[in-house]
Amino acid sequence: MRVEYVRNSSNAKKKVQTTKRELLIERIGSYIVLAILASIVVIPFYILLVSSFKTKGFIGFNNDPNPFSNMNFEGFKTALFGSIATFDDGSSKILLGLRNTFIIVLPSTVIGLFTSALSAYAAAKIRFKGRNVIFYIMLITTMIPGIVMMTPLVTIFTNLDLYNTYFPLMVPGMFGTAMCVFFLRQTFMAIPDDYIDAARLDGISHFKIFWKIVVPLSAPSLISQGILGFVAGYNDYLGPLLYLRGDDQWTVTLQTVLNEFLGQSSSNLYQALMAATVLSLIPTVVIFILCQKFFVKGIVNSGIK
Amino acid sequence: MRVELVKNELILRKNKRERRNEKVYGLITILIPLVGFLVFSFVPMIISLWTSFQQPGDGNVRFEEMTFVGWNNFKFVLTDPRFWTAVGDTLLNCLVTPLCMVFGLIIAMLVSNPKLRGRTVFKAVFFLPYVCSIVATCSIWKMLLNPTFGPFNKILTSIGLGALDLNNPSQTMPIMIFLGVWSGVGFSIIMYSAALTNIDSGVVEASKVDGANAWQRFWNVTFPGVMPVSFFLLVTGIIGNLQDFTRFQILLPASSKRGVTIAYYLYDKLANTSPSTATISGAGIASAASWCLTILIIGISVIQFMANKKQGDSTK
Repeated sequence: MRVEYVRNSSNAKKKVQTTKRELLIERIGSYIVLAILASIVVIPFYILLVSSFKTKGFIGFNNDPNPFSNMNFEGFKTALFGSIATFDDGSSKILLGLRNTFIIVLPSTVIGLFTSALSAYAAAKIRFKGRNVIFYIMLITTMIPGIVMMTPLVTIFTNLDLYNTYFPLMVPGMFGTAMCVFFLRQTFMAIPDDYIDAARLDGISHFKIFWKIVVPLSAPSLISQGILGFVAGYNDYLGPLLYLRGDDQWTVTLQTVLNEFLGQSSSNLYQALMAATVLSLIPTVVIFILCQKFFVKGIVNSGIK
Repeated sequence: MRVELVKNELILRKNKRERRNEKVYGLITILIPLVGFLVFSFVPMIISLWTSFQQPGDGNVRFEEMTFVGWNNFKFVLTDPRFWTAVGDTLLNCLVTPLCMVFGLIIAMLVSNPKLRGRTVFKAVFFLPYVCSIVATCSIWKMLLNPTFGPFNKILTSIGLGALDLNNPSQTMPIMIFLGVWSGVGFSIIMYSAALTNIDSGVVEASKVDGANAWQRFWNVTFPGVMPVSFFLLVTGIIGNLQDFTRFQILLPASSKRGVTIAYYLYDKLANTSPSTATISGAGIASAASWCLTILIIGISVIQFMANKKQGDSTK
């Protein structure tokens, strides 16, 4: 009995040791695989950043071993105020594009979030007949492919003389989106009904309950949905391409300006293109770094069906 | 409103007027997004159906100048060899989703190891392309893949391999698929990471004690655990891939031999590709093409749902 016990325990010890070694190998292996995959992501950004400061881009990759030699801000100057990057009056296309993008995206994101939240509150906390039917119809609408709408929307807005205005870019989003309603409803449902009932007993209206109790309690979810909406609007290229002419101070947007640069880029303009790309990425990357938690939460929420 | 004690429970009683007010408020607020959908999606769809049987006037899309042409638009689209190339390339582009899922799951499993240092940094790095706009991504890769001075091609040629060229028809789609995976894998990683944290660690430990090896653990514990997320990623990913076109439109001319997806094809028919001109032609053909695409999307989604259901039945 005793011998067996010892043997067993030594076996067990051996097993632990191998798993420890296995763990080490596993960890080193993980690092190698992750490093290789991460470099596929990091290196392009690194080259982008460095070439935005170098007149001959990364052409010096072979001949110039030091990537940090001869750095200058010419690319950023050309991207912001060069002759191809400005209108006749000297105003910078990128800066105007940035302004217009904010004018378009901010109100539509904030109002869209507000209406989505209102709708989600009704779907989660007010009991009335037909509520669930309406909610399920809303869910079905998310399955419809957006591409069918492209042709008719351009046609309609042209017929209504709203082509080349902000209307098609701002107003549809202000009604809120079914996806957003769905996630906010999930969050609101986690708030106990007792809070709402107690407030109702005190004679407080649903809107006030929504605004004073539900919104503050679900601030993280609202923020994450807001950030997602803002980044999506900021990165939107198709909308401005379809509805704006992009040829004057009020109809350029950041993404279309960048695309214009991309189309014109000859080898001597590459530094400017890279600088413009870096500039366009700053807002989203800053938001991403500052609000990574909200961002990830919003994305995860958007996937749980 | 008042509180009543019924069978030892406090119950909130509302009178008729209160209930009606509540219902009106609820209906109005819940319906706002649906009104938006009705005006900006449902009505356009109906108009799109109508337009697909119309020939618009010369150089504009005014409703009053359209004439009925029957099935001509559909005939044009379905007999256009460029449309069928577009269908092929669009289906090929759907490889992006399974590739994103495979790499996403591998990376998510690697970074979910709590003993790994720097996991948050890795996660952030992989997610970076996802916050980039498509235009920025295309700008980076257009520079990297420049046939004459792109760093990527310099490396390839220096080690004796041929340079990559987007305009080479046999290389267009592989490069575009790579770009799709590059910018989309971050989303899969986030989704899989969330799914992996939801898998009961007790089950994993128990399977270890029972002597399951890594592969058995993956196949019997991890894989079923991430099945729902996988299905979600597959369905939404494929629906997205079938509609992909911005990166194709930015990097390739509409005359490109390959890489003109269905959405790019119909966009090209709808509008002059230059954003600064407003001349619009072929809205009828574009509508017909978009309905062909819609039918394709619905068909593929139905097949996926049926396959998922069948698989669910067989495992029960």
